[in-house]
Amino acid sequence: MKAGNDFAFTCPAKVLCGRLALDHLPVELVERGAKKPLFLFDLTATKHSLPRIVHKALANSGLVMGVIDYIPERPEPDQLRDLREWFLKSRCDAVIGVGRGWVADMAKCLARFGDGNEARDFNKALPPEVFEQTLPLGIVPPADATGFEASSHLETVFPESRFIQFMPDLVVIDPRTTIPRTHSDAIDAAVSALASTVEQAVLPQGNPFIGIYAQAAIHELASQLAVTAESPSRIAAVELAAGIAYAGLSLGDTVCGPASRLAQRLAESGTISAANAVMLALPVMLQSMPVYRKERLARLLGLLAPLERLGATDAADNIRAAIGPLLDLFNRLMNAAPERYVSKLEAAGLAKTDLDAYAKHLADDGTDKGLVRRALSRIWSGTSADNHDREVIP
Amino acid sequence: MTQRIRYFEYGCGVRVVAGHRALERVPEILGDLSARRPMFVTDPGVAASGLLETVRGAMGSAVKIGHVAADVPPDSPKDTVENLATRYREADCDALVALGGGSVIDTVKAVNILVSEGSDDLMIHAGVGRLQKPLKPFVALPTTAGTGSEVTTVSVIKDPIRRIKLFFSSRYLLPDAAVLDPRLTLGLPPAVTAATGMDALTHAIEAYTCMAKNPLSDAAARQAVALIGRHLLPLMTSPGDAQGRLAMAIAASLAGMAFSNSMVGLVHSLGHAVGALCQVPHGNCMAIFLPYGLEYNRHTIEPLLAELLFHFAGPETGSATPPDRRASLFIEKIRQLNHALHLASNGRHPRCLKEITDRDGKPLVTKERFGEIAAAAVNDGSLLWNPEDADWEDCLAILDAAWDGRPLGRRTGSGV
Repeated sequence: MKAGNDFAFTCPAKVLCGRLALDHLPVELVERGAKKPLFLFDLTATKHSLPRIVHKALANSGLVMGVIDYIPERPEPDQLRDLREWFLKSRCDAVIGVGRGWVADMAKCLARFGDGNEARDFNKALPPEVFEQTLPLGIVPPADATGFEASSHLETVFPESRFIQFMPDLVVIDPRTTIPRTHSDAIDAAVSALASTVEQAVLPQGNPFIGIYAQAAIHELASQLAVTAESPSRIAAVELAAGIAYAGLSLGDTVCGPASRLAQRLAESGTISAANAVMLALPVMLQSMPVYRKERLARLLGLLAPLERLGATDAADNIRAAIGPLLDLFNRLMNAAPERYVSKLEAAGLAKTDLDAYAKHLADDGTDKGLVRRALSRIWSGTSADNHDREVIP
Repeated sequence: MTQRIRYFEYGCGVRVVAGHRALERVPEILGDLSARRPMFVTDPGVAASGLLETVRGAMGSAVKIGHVAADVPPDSPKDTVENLATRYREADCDALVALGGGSVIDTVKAVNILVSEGSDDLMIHAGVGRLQKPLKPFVALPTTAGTGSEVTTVSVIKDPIRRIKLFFSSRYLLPDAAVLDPRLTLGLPPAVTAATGMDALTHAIEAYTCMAKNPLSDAAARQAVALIGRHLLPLMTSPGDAQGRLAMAIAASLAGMAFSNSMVGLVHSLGHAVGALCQVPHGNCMAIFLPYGLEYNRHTIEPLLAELLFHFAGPETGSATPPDRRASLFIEKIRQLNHALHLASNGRHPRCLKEITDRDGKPLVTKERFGEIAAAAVNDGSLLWNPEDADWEDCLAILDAAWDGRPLGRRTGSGV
């Protein structure tokens, strides 16, 4: 941590985590003045009977529960408008989103635009200074969440813009609600969250307070991922959901580092999943990119490595020791599901001649094109796992 | 269900503004809170040090101060709180700014209860969760790096008539903002730097080892321990190091977040007892009892102490130490730090109970009071969260060893 930079930090989100966390939600809502909270459920949550579970947790709380249990994956604008009108008529005074992606965004928009604020089209959400009054906002993410749910970002509206007003007041992680769509989805979500948090943690911005969430996310996700891949369980799903939520809370102004951006681009090609792409890209990019600060890398990736491996006085050795466990983890995941993951881009069917186009995308964001090209070449041929040598680390 | 995901809560909604020019942002912070006539509250020591002028200078003419109260005594009594509330109303203020250490910040939290609730009786608000709505805008400018009060939900006020301490706990007591600026701590005397730094270190370590720990409080505690390990001792010889001062201010807030989202333990139980019965400053109690608390709990928390060695002393030291030696080396490092702080403060930082004296050199703690102190310690709430049970005799044995700084010499699994 470099204490020399000026920074401001606010995290209004309170995390309720663990067995019976859901049962603590009513107290928190009442303390925030809520009498009639609206719960939004996506279809996966409804399929797993979460409305009934939530209803049971709220029994005897004195709260009247509003429920909409059919939020689709990608709602149409008409559906959004109807929802808002219904919400205003219902006089609900708090909003809880149970699920991932759109549900969380809709909960955020209703809580921040719903009470006394001018009607807005969610797709044209305006900057936060228009908010005069906001309602208590809670998020209950599953194990295959993206992390954005717990963050101050609106993932589906403007993911690159962060407004602190969209940060939920409450994030609830309970074994009864962290059920993913599929086990594989949970693994992929956790890999992406781990990668983006590692990148957040080693990029120059950030501060020690955000670092709390980044550290906790890395620790939780790294320690659980491999275990979960080999023996899935409901307990493991809670751990992953918690890690992903911490990752969301650690998101700063820059949502994606170079490796995550590259992985997204590669995934858009349709030849490789985002999680697989980031497993290939992250170790190589960490070794190669001068944008990552070696001190942060050595310290924060220390959470991945047995600490005694970070004992070398040479910072380069520390980096090598730190990236090693990340490579081990990703290799273990890829070996556990060879039908889902490839160990090099070449195997995914990506033409080597296409690499320039991907390098150009990142170069447009200011990253050295030559470095990206060389890193990509290593990802393509799969030489990254055996080669810990750094190209450039200042 | 595994122990790892037992229920926990973590939250801290304080806006932390930190940096070398953080004070310049006070007008903006007050503006965001719609505060137009803040009352500034401080203590005579801070006022005499010129810090109020430093703050005024940084704020410029952008803030119109409604009233300045510079008479908060240490361990502030209920009367002071009521008096300050009256002055707040008379001056028609609309916000509170605390400029001081834990005592001033705690006092302002209590004043905020009275002026926000429109009440004159502090007693009726005492307890946990008694407040039902947000209070007046409140900004904390901590002038010590130790208590972490700027990020905690509690306040403790003395009631001298009833001879009790009033305890208040509510999320509404959290300041709206905490401003961490190294200029506020640059002038701290070495002994105060040492005592407050050890207070923060104890918060972090007990938060990391107590029974209510959780992954987020752990991360905050680790960060705090690393910063204190790196910066506290160098500040004794370079007190003007603004970078180090800022790091310690941040560490104290991180430690405050850690323990207020988990708990503390035996060290605080003993410290509260000695502080209340013998009027020993809290930081000194923490510094003296910390190695004893760790030694006492060691066989339950050995892996945690071994991990902390890496954060406190650095990965080189950690990895160079055999695994079975790490916990004991960590405890030894704490003792060494206390000793180094003692030397660097010309003996003003006590290492053991007999070194705590009044101005005439008379010990504040006497062996005759050990029984009474041990009884108070076992009745202190902090002990509930200690990883090990401790009874009256255990506390007595610790006090006896801490009298002249002898190691406890506790062996695995047995009593003291």
